[in-house]
Amino acid sequence: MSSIHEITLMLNGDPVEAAVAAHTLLVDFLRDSHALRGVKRSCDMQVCGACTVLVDGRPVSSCTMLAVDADGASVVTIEGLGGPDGLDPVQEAFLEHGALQCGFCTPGFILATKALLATNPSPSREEIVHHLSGNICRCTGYQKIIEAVESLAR
Amino acid sequence: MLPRPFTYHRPTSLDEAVTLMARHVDDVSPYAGGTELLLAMKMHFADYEHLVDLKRISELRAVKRNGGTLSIGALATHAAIAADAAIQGSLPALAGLCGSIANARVRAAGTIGGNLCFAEPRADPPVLLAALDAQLCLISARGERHVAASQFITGALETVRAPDEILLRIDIPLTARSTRYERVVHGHRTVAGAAAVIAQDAHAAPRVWLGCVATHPVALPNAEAHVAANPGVLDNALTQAIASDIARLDIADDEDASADYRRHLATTVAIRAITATVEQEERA
Ligand SMILES: Cc1cc2nc3c(=O)[nH]c(=O)nc-3n(C[C@H](O)[C@H](O)[C@H](O)COP(=O)(O)OP(=O)(O)OC[C@H]3O[C@@H](n4cnc5c(N)ncnc54)[C@H](O)[C@@H]3O)c2cc1C
Ligand code: FES
Ligand code: FES
Repeated sequence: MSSIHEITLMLNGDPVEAAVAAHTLLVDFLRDSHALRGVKRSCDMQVCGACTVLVDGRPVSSCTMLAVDADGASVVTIEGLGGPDGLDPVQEAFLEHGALQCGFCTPGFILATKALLATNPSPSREEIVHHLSGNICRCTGYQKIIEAVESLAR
Repeated sequence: MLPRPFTYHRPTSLDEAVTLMARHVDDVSPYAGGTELLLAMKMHFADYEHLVDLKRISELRAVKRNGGTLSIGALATHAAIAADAAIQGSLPALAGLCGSIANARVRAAGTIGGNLCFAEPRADPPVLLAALDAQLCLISARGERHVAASQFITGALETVRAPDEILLRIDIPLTARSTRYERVVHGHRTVAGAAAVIAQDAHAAPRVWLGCVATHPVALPNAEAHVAANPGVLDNALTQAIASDIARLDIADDEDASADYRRHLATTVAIRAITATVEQEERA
């Protein structure tokens, strides 16, 4: 039996309280308990980036983080971007540049981009490539993704 | 896959963590970023009844410079080390390495202490820290002790850490004038990495270490002797000295490289690291 823990967190801006078993992974907590299906599980080993979420602004692999670790943190998934007034600028840039095809990798790329721009608002092309090198896309060939992010650099 | 069930402990002080480790010593693991541990537990390679999460003990993250020593808390993440102004200024080779290993998510969660304690044969920081003659400070209910980074890892996934010990910090003497780590990466992991360190003190011996090749980092004594006797000389004899050191290592074929190819890469990264320090010396 795992120990059970009461956790409180901000999830996409809303306060959430939950009881989680110690061995619950964050990806399952988000997808199964909160129906946030924009969080994808693919490689399950921190290589592909499909499961990327922001925890206190840092990009993490939710496939390899415990839900209990999110206690006290602010967690943002793709569902937390944009709002009634429209899409987030990063989402807009991906659309404008055709930086997605099937879209499976897109939430991860967009959140990874948010994390990059938060610490480095004017990344060079080289910095963009380095930062996104842990996210895998099987469709686009990356070129348009890099162009979309370049268009956001100030 | 899911990890098997366990009991999770989250101490907020070091005393509390030490007590928990002692109480559950028979089946306990410290838990930091989880980037190795959770992976191993998900694959059911590792299994513990108790995890002691060290992340809420803020003193374990501290980076300090005390005179000629740089102290890095075991819980400092790769991303924090890469972005730390004191480390960038005093030890750019380490900041640069931590900013380039793995990917942005692993760098944001993974810690330097977790990297050392897991002792993955392909880990980079242990090689550089051994060459820098870093000292590791460990704590348990029996007290603190210090172990040289060069003696900490004894084999694949094997260290001298006792099951109830917590790595507190890494103390790095800032005595080097030229430092370089060079590596060749294949896929997600390094296939050969070498560190060269030339001390400020002309009488101190140069250090050349190799890792990601055999089961754990090793010194290259013939290369070190050649560099000591022929400072600044990059000749065929240096290549032969390196090759003679590497010939003595037990290197196996694996999915990334054949043993022969890995020997070739090992020689190449060692030459690159030494060459880079020679260039730094010329500029100094
Ligand atoms: C996709 C990927 C790519 C990677 N690429 C590289 C690379 O190129 N080069 C490289 O060097 N590494 C690489 N790594 C490894 C990475 O550096 C480590 O996963 C990370 O540093 C481990 O730290 P952690 O805090 O997550 O450790 P954890 O997973 O939390 O712990 C690892 C082990 O150390 C123990 N431990 C942790 N902290 C302490 C402590 N303070 N005291 C005592 N024991 C402790 C744990 O009990 C556990 O056994 C990669 C990892 C991944 C997943
Ligand atoms: S599913 Fe988490 S990184 Fe691939
Ligand atoms: S758009 Fe299909 S994987 Fe990236």
